[in-house]
Amino acid sequence: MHYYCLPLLAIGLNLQFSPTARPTRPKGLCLRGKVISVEIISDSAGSRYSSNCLEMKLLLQLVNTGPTPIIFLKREPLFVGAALAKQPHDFETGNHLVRTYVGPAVNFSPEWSALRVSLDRPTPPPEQTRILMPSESWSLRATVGVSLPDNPELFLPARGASLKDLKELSSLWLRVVCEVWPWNLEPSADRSKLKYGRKLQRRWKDVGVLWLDEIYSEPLTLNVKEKP
Amino acid sequence: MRSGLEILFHNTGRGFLTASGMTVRDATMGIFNRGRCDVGRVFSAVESGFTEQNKWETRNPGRFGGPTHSDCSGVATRIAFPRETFGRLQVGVRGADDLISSEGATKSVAENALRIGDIVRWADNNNTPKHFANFIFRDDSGKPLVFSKSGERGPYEAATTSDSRWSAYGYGKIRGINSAQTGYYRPRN
Repeated sequence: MHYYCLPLLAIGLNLQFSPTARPTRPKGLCLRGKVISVEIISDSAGSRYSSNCLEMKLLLQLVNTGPTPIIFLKREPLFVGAALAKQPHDFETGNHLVRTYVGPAVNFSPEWSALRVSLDRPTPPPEQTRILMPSESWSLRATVGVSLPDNPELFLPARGASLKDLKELSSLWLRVVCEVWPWNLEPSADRSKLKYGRKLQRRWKDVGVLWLDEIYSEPLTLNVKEKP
Repeated sequence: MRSGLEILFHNTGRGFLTASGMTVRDATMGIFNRGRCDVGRVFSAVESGFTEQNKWETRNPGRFGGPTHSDCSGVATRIAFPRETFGRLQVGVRGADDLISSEGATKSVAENALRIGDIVRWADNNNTPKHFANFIFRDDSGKPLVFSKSGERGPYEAATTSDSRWSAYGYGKIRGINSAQTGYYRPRN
């Protein structure tokens, strides 16, 4: 290989694996719904580092809006995070009032290797996968929380808004994120490359698209103003 | 009144130390005048985590989470057991339990006896480990604050041990590996 090709190769690899990305709406998939209840769980510790947790129950629909069937594992998506913003477009720019992400840890338990073995088939095994055909939807219930410190400025990284701040806003929007492909299924050291998932994705491409990415919801309206 | 550790925490990750030409280790040696470097080592990890988190958020403005190369078990055990975890890419929650339970590796301590770098362990109702963190300081009301990374795709952050987010997202409660233990562990290194 000529050495002058190396920078081009590096640029190509960077484009392929760059983690820099904004969570745009996934092509062919839409997660939408509504907030059905909001509960404020107070930390009674009485510390200046105390937080309130705004716990929200949601009714959601994951809709295949594209022309291709989408393959998921036959397990409920794991809701791992939520953010609040003043306007829907604020989510795209990262202008959140507050966000919380609490995801699963690395776990090498046999449950995952067993699931890996049972997925390793020429076509998606029906007992382990579900296929969402075009226009079909999957109804989901989820509970998510955002942590609202009494004194956000005390935290690193600074955590934006307190419950008092939110109650003063006339409108508020919520966005949630869920994982449908657990990284604990990935056996290699650098799991973020999703080598195992991509292998199955290629193998099953004639049936549909195996969904590996996190799914961000459409912005949902939220009301935390106290009733007069 | 703020403790020395709390003051250090507020200067960590904000460029104060870098701007002053000091390292975290210099600063902690100055504040605590200790021969041991536990405080410096722990706060170096805290500062490094927050710096990485800031960079990640700048690169990924609309995304939730944090850098993906480690999780809570990796961060907590690298701080508590630097020799045993040297060169290990991933530890995992079972691996963290194994390190804590190794003969003579830790002792179970009471919540009110926590020292900087001690491990806090969360587990679900079946006592399956879900989360690990390191104690960093206690505020003047006595509330312990911990440093952790919430998941493999999660952020580096500090929070109180009683923060309701842990239970809201299924981390469960602070529990010992066996019922006689508190869930708070001091490494014997």
